Amino acid sequence: MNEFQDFSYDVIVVGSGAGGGMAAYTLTKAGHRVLMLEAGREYDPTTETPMFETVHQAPLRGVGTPDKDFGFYDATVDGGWTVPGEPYTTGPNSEFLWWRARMLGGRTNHWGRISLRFSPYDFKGYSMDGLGYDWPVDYAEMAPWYDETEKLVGISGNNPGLDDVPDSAPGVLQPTFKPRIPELLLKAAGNKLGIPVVPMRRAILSRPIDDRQACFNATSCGRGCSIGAAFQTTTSLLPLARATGNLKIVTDAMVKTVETDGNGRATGVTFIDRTSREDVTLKARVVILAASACETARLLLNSKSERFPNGVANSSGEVGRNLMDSTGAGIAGLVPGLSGRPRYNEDGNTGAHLYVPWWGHKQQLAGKLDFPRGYHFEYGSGFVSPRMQLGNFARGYGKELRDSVNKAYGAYVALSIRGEMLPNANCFMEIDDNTKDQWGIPVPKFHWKWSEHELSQIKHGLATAKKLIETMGGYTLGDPPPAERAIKKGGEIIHEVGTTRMGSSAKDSVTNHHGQCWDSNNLFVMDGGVFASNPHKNCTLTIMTMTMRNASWLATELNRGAL
Amino acid sequence: MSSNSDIIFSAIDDSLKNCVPAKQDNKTHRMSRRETLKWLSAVSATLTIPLTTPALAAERNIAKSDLVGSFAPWPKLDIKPVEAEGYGKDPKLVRPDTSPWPLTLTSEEKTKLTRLSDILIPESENFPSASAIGVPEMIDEWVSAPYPRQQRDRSFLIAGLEWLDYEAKRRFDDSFANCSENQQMEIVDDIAYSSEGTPPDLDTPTRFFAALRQLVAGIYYCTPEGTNDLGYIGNVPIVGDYPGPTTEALDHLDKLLNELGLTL
Repeated sequence: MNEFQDFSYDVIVVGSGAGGGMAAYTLTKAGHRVLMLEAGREYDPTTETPMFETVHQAPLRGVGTPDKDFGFYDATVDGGWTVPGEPYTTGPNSEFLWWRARMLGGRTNHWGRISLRFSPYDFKGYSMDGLGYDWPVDYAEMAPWYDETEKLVGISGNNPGLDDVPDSAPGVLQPTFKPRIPELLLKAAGNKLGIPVVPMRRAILSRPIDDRQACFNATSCGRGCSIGAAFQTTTSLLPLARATGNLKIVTDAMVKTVETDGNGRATGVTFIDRTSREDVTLKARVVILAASACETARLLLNSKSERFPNGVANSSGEVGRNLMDSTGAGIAGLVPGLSGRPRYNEDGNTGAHLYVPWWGHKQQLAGKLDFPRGYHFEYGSGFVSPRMQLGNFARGYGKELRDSVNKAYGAYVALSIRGEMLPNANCFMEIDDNTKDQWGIPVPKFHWKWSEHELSQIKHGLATAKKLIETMGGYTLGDPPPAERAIKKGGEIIHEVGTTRMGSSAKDSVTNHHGQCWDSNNLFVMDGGVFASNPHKNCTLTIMTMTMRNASWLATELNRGAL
Repeated sequence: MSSNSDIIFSAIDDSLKNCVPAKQDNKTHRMSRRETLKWLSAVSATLTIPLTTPALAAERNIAKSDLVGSFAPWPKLDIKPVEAEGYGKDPKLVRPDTSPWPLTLTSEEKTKLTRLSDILIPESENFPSASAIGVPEMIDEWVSAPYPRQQRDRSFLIAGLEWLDYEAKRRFDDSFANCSENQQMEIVDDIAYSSEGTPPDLDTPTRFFAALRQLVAGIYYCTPEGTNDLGYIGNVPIVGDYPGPTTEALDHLDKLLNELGLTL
């Protein structure tokens, strides 16, 4: 056992988000001692969350600014698209956005909580269409781990019996939230067009678990949740792991390198104490990297030695490659039939209660679509809590102005595409040798180019969204733009994964199917970096599920004295 | 970014930025394209807010004899950006600090702003006017903020307020504030609507008025009073499961589905 500040431990976990939180929870529950290093500050949602504060009470009525990109109340500390003193760069003709948070719990404090498990198609995409890579695990093996994770995290949703939405085991999911009027209208439009509209699965409790209360159907989840109804590691996995007495968390610890010996074994890590600005090197029996796909890859690439001249765990040259995000594009519409309808409390859990899963696997297998892989629609609608943007709907002045805003309120709907991207050789990250952050750590440089696959998919999605909105008796605000213009920038959907891909061979992947680095058997990656593909389903649930599986395996290995 | 309002408002932003305006009315539509555009006229009008040219000298004391032509020219002002600090990347979110930066509008600007705010949203039977609930002060907070978008709005709005004085001087030989209500409304009516017939000289003043309208309305409807005006019922904890739509709301939906020939 190693010691740090009178705490003895076997395992160092870097990062406290979805992967780090689950790794620490699983290992400490199994009796192992874990030291967690988090680059950001301590953060406590029970006292820091602006529950019920209205935008009226916020500076600039809460709109996004360069200080708070997603709005004043967003639960992102010291981060967003920029982190002061910690730049990143992009290659020629590349646009890439990288969202970071410097806080305990990382991005789980503000994420959308959409939790869609991958399907058999999603794990074996290459076998279906010859593109990208298969995962070195299949759905049958993952299914029980999804069940365990969903129970622990608390997912509301149901089993609609669709091939894109595999059933959870009986008793796993919590009750769904009743759909609202604009969602029922979408469902009716979907019925006519043969497009499924089913309950969303989100990490929002409709029933209490432990100390976490059920959602009381008010105040946006992106602010974080002081009652623990919306999942974030800071109100769930981390307190549970701390309660075992086996976890010590060190915040303001910015890890910069993984230390290795001449045999390739990880011996520990070096971090910068952000308060004293001093380097601290710690030893460990096992090192788990869960710093987020791009931070983890950056760490590995920055950890050069005689044994690893291109960075630790990078004998394949794949670290930083296969960088993927989700595709994204949004289109809004006006539905006159929803104008002036009876008011009622339409907050619900403040996110979508229904969504459109991917319905085209069979058409794709029959060669009827001109793009591979799927997408889903997230749907926004309703009498939402007012924001500055309502001013967009005002016209004229006086009574006319009041009438125009009232008429538009609750009559606008939006469909947001989230689709699968295939890995391609133009999308990767490397280290920018010319730029260091304020800690002296070389920064990532991102390269990005969408391929025809993604553009064709977006084109299809926009046309379908238009059809759905028109079937509801509405209009899109103009004709859908060309896909090149509509598609979001790389990284903008904040589903970046793939930079330390898992695979079945040391030649073309960074880790094996346990997230164990091929080059360094006591070094693990337990974040989105290990994704072999990036299905249209938001990545967090699978990061947690894969981590629970792999950390459980690691716990048994440690028990039997391996590593 | 997956709350209902995030999805709606970011998609509206995307659509306005990217969508291709449709070429002609589609007769199958239940509401004409033109009508839809009318709903949105304010939005598109504010997307291309021009920056004034900061290099040019201030011309605040323009003489009536310089105001030749059908309408007053757009003022060329040297508006200095504010130098305050923002609220930073880790502000206190619970009961946030009010007015994080010094307010910067002059009393003349505030007087004009107050008058315009109340033209846009006057007192009605059930709801207060914009100025009665502090909208002009919140616009001052907006244009005094040290962020790029607010600084662009600052240059544009201050120039627009100045233009009102130019135009008032040209038409009525007095400042806007000193004009009679009828005289003020005569000017406002010329810039409150954008149409194909809008004279080119009024393009920028019309965009100014649209930008101001967007700000005033946005701020107003975020206040508790404006929120009540919209009939928003929410931001309150619900005991037990979310009850879903009321019977009345469901009846309305049934009618709509019937009209559209849709079924659940």
